[in-house]
Amino acid sequence: MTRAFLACAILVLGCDARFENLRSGLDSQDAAQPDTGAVPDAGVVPDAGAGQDAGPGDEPTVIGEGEFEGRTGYDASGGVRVEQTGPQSYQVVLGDDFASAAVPGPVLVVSGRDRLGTALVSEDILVTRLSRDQIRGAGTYTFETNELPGNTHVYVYCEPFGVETARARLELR
Amino acid sequence: MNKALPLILAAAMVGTLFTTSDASAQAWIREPGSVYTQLSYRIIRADRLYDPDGNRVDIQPFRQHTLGFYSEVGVVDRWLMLTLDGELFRRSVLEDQGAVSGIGDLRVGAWTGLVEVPFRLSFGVVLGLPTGDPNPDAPRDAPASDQTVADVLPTGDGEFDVSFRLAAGHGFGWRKVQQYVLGEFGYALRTTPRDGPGSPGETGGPSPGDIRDQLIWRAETGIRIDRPFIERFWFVLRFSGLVVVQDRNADTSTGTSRFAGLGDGVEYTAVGFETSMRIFPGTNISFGVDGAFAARNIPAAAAYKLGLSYELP
Repeated sequence: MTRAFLACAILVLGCDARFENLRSGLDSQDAAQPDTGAVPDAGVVPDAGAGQDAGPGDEPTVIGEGEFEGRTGYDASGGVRVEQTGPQSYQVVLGDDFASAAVPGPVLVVSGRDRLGTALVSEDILVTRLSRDQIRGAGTYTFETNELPGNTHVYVYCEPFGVETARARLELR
Repeated sequence: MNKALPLILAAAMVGTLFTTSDASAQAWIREPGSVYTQLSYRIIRADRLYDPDGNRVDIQPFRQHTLGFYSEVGVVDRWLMLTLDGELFRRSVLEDQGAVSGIGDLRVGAWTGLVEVPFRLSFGVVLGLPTGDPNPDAPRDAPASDQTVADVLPTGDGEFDVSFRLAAGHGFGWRKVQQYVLGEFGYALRTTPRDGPGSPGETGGPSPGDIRDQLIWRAETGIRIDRPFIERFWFVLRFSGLVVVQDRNADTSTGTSRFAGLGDGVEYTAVGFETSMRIFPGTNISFGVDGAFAARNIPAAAAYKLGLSYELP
């Protein structure tokens, strides 16, 4: 019997789990993107832009600034501002003091809503997916939209589980 | 409160919280050749999560199905009993996001009797084996976001751990009622996952880190009424808990987060009820429900379990 116990244990060692996508093809334009940097989620947020780091030579106009606060039990801090770099081009600039909690699948979202709930809607702008190295410290991420929402918030949002972890309400200039 | 953790904890948490064998009664060391084994199916459906502060927050609907087993076998009279339990199959589903299926972790235990009268007291060492997959892979050509979802649905904690446990039990009867009480207390030494979700270089996930040690406790009582037909049933009430004790106030904001209960920062106080019915000599079916009423980093929902057990005296 003892040997049977050990045999059972050995048999199951090293088995890999199998993943299955249940998102109905929403991420079809998201295939094979790099691990870091911005990854648009066009299926969920049609307005999201290319989301690459802003290049040199831009002359941005500050649209609004704010400070992150933790949400739903998570800590967050640091400054953020949204700048306009072109007629329909914007960028989110995270301050050196930016810090957000380590959660699975964090994304940076610009929204006019006071709270995001458990799902993003088409009016929300998914600016970029944040890698582990991007949840702390400075960063600049571009996006495109026809018009910013009036009551602009910047969120860090755990997309898989639909949980807000950080929110900054912007003071518009 | 611990700052950052864990959405990831929930999915796997369910492993830690609700896969511990309910039918286990290690205070009683089995005689040599005596065997008890149970096969069980569990389901959890949650649309809320206990956050790191213990508040319940809404999440995408989450389901977890597990096919688990638990076995005990007596080896040396009074002195040695071996246990083995784990998950033969585990499927975690995050609605509209993704699902991961695979084998879960295993636990192997060795128990020895310390006291037989006036109550039973035994000591056990339980070794957790990382047979599950702590870092499921999305297909290579899949969207990057698929890997993010796969990362939050591990089927194992990726680490070896060992827990030292004391279990005390006493059975007695009064009038037409048979009753037992059982208490268990343990300390779990947790280690560093070998390849957890969000290991360096993985997409968007958190960094791996040590899982802090935990205290484990359980208090349980069961009764059986010696009346025709009714004597086939046992009714069990159980309280159980898991408490982080190592570096309890540590800042874990950049550390591991593992939704699914297999990682750091999981705590709970749970209550459960179970009833079992003897259908043949030595064979029982059971139904139980467990739910945490105070917790951190686990799904806020009840777990329902259907079991089939066999005992060879």
